[in-house]
Amino acid sequence: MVYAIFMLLVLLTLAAAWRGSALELPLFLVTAAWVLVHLVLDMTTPLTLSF
Amino acid sequence: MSRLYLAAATLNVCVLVLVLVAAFAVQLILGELPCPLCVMQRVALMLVALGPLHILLRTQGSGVLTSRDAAVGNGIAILAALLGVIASGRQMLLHILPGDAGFGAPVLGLHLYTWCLIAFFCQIAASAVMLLAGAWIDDKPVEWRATRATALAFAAIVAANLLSVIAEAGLNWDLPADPARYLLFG
Repeated sequence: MVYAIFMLLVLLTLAAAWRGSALELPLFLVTAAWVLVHLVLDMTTPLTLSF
Repeated sequence: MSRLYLAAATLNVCVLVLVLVAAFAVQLILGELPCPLCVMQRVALMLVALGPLHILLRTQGSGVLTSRDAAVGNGIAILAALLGVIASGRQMLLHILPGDAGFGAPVLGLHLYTWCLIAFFCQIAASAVMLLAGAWIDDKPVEWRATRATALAFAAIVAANLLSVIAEAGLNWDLPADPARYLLFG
């Protein structure tokens, strides 16, 4: 489900960019930060995200 | 110069969409379900595409390509490509020991995550070139008709991946490490 939320955030960011909304960059940054945290957690815990 | 710049941004999005379509084709035709790190690489590819799309959509809205929009768009692409480097590099390192067959079938001798790492490095180089090319952007009005179709094609492949990952994960928060079936269908 978490990956679906990432993709939903990508679609929301696209929609914000299309409408010229000021939310575009904050949405992108939140998504990118969450993806980074997800990847770092994977690298610092026993294999969960493998393969 | 603005039209050339927009053509390059459109080409950038189209290449990323094609990579996502190819990954989806491998999933549907060869029956290879993407692992969690594979999905993270797809998400990174989608985030990268938001960069050139920012340039295209901002130009469509204002009618003028500005250096600011070009810089922001390329910044988005570079940041997202770095996330992709982390995800694909991590997956490569998981399979780097001698004797490890790797995950999934290789394509042209390399696994998909290796191709992804190469693609992310190429994206960083391309975005750097686009940033440099920003020096020649003129502030004249420009019309670019391909923006809407490009953005719709991107939205379609993201939506298809969204449905696919929901089918694959079912009601679970995370995916199994080595997925073998679509959990939503039992």
